[in-house]
Amino acid sequence: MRVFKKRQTKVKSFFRSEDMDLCQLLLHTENAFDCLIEVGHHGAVQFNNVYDEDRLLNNLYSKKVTQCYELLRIVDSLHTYIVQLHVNEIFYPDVDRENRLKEKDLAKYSDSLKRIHVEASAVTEHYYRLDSRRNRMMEHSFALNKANKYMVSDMGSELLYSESTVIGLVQDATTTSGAYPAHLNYMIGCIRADKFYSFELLLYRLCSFNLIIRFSEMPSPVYEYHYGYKPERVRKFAILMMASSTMIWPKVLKICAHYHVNIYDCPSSASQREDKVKELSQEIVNVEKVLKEAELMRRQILEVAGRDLFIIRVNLRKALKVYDLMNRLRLVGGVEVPRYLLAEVYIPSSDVPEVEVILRNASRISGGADNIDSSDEDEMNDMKTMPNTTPYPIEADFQPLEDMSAGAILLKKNRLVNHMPPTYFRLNKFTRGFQNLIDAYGMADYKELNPAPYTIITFPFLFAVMFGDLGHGILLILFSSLMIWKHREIEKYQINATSENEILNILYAGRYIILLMGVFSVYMGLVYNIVMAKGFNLFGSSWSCRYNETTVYDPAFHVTLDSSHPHFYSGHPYPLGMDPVWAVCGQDSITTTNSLKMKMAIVLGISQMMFGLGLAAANCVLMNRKADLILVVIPQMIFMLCLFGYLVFLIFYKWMSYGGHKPAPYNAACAPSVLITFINMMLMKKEDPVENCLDYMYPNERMIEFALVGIAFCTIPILLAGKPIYLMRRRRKMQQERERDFKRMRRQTIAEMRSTMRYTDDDNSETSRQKSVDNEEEHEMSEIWIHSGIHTIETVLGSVSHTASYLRLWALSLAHDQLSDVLWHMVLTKGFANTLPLYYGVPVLMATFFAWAILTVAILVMMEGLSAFLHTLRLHWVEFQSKFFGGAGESFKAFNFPTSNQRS
Amino acid sequence: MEVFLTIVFFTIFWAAVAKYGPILFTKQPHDDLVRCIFLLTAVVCWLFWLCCYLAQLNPLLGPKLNGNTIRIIASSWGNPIKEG
Repeated sequence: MRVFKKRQTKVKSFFRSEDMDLCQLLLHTENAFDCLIEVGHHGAVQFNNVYDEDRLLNNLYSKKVTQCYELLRIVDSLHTYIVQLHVNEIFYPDVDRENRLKEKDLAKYSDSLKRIHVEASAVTEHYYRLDSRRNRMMEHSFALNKANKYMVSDMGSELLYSESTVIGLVQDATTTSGAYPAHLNYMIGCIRADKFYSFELLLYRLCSFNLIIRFSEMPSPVYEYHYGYKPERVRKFAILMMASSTMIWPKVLKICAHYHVNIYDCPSSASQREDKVKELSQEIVNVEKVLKEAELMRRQILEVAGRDLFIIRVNLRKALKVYDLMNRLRLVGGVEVPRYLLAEVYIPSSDVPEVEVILRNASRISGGADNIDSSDEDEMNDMKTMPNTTPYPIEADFQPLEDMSAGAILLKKNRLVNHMPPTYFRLNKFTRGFQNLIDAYGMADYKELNPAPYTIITFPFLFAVMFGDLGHGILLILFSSLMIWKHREIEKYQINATSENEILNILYAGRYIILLMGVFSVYMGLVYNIVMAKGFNLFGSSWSCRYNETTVYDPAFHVTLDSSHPHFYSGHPYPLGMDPVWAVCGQDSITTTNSLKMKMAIVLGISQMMFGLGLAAANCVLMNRKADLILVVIPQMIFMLCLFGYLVFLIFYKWMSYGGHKPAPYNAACAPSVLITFINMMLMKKEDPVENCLDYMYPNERMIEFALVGIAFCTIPILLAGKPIYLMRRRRKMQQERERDFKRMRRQTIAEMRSTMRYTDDDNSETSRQKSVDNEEEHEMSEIWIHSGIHTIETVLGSVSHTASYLRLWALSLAHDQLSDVLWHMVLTKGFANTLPLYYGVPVLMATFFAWAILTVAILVMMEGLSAFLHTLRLHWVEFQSKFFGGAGESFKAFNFPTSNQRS
Repeated sequence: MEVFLTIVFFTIFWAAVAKYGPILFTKQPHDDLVRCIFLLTAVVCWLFWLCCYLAQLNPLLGPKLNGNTIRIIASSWGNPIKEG
């Protein structure tokens, strides 16, 4: 029992994709919605072929989809009102767990949304009407004021009429009795400021000097409300029009109507005008009181709406997704009364029991948003929900058959399928970042070896080879540790933020990558012996210099320590990393460090490529591709080992055998160049030996090199022609077998007359096997030959170019080291070396340190880090993964609801 | 002899990391991934250290130093300059 539990709890890691089961899902129409809601929250089911462009809809749920769209439109409308009034809309972070949607809730959402929408719209319309009315009264009051002022005070200075007319008007203004009839007719109104000039020009052309227009701008803009548009603030002009004849008024009125001029009444006497203004002011005050009440009511309604609007919006989006999916499933059952929905799904094998439990629990919910619950049904539902409290309820025999048939059914399919299952990896927060790096290149095929587990170590390691510095590595560790430590705050910020911060998202997703990059950079800092461009001496240098005082007295004295003398080199190297003497001898150390780093880059590159070929072999074994293993991968490995594996051997042999302190012919003068030796090996030529030196590195070198080159070149025709010939021969075998089966089928007909059944079974199995084999014959032989040729050329040339590509490890390491040195000597040393007085020197040193620190973080850590990251990514995508990784799979797209956040 | 002991020491060290490192993460569901991680870490770190060590085992050229550097080395690294 313990063993069983132990095996059950063990989770297989993501070296290969998860096993996939092809299932058929049968849902009853009564509770399909609730089942799919639970499936969407769980997120482990992929529906096949339902989102194709040519998919026919069953139209059973088109009305539901339209209803969801309509409700979402109402939600958006309410949201617009809420944003206008700056009302607080409450955000629920746990909406996915605490407010899980059921189909019954949709009716409640629909009713409450429509009621709130009607109330909000009515109150808003009422508010708009009141505001328009107030605006018109304000316009009227302002126009009356302006007209009254004009007629009383400015009349005499503006009019150009005859003396008798002026005298008559003056008499009219001074007396309230109105004994004489008015000679001028006038009209007041309001017009939009942007239309006034064309209006004035048109009236001038039409009426010339028979009409006089005076205008004045209102003190503040007013709102205009049009149905279906947002309220608009416009500037308005109050206008006064006067004419000596009444015959032109009909034309003027038509023009005013076209220009949307609001015409207002204007009493003829000054006292009546003043009374009208007072009356309008009183009405404005009253309307403003009512406006305040209307706004308060409007705000209250929107606050009530804002309380639940987020939950309703999130759940409506889920409902829309589910109804759209249900509309795309296939109907099963009677044509007139369809009862079941059928879907073909992929589920990870380890998730199938969990999905079955979820479907069983969801099936027990009384479904149907259109059902009307009665008291008796409520009692029965209470009785039914009691068994749901147990995780594995026992089905009673007395349950009616109707309820049993309403449950969702999940059946596994065992038939052969033509297309590849999707690829699914079970990841956690540590492994997701590395898997994202691989998926950016290509999704793994089904059951193909996944590069991501190995990338967890090789990616930060190769980054550190380029970036290696103890101080910079510590900075990376601190930054990533901060993000790991604060991950709850960062996740809350991401959920609650109203806009995406893409840089933070990328850095947060890769925080474990950055942590490992920092850790390996610290290790590389120990090996390179670099801390912010400076070295340290932990174990005592292997080099020593013993001179008399008179020898070193000369300031221009410099010496190259003789590696062949025990006084200078002790014979055993510095135990951990580079000797500190190379850090203090200045620019001359580049010769040694360049040679060292180039050789290490070659060793690491060829090791990683051989590891990739090993993974290719493992992949062939796991996928049962023996032909690929023997005819493709093994020749590739032999080719790489004979040529570039030998190069690695030459590097190590030279390190072990040749040294400055060794006697000839193994001293520094006789040390051959590894590159020249390798080139001579490929070109199969000899060079004359240097004086007092041997012409070989080890006995029988020439013979061994020729043999290795010969073996390597023998693998090329195997790579080129092996697999095509194998496929041709297998195709011939299949044809012969098919001919034999055809003959056997004729005998089978005679056997059927004798009523023998076992031969029929054999024939069926062979037929099914032929069908599976026929799929492989879709490729033309010419295509196979072309593909094999391309692959061979890519293998041979790629091995050379990929090996050279790994030299970027040395190049970027050198660049990082030199930049670090430049910052030290050009920035910080000037602060240390300043000879100013103390109260000047300390601020200068502080300023220099801050400049150096900022430049270190900005250039060496961020820019150089990004450069090393991208180069490491290319080394993994091209040089490493091209050895074994196809990357042509499809990802597992589960039907899933994304986590709700502020923006959803 | 000292060279051989140093190589043996570091090889045993990284082998111990590869073998006993996963024990720290025992009883976890991803023990095969953890084992792969520790094994790869040990191999790559050991290989890098070995390359650096062997490259310095038999140096072809020595460092070039000037007088000031020699005086600093003499005072800091315990190589006193003799009288005379």
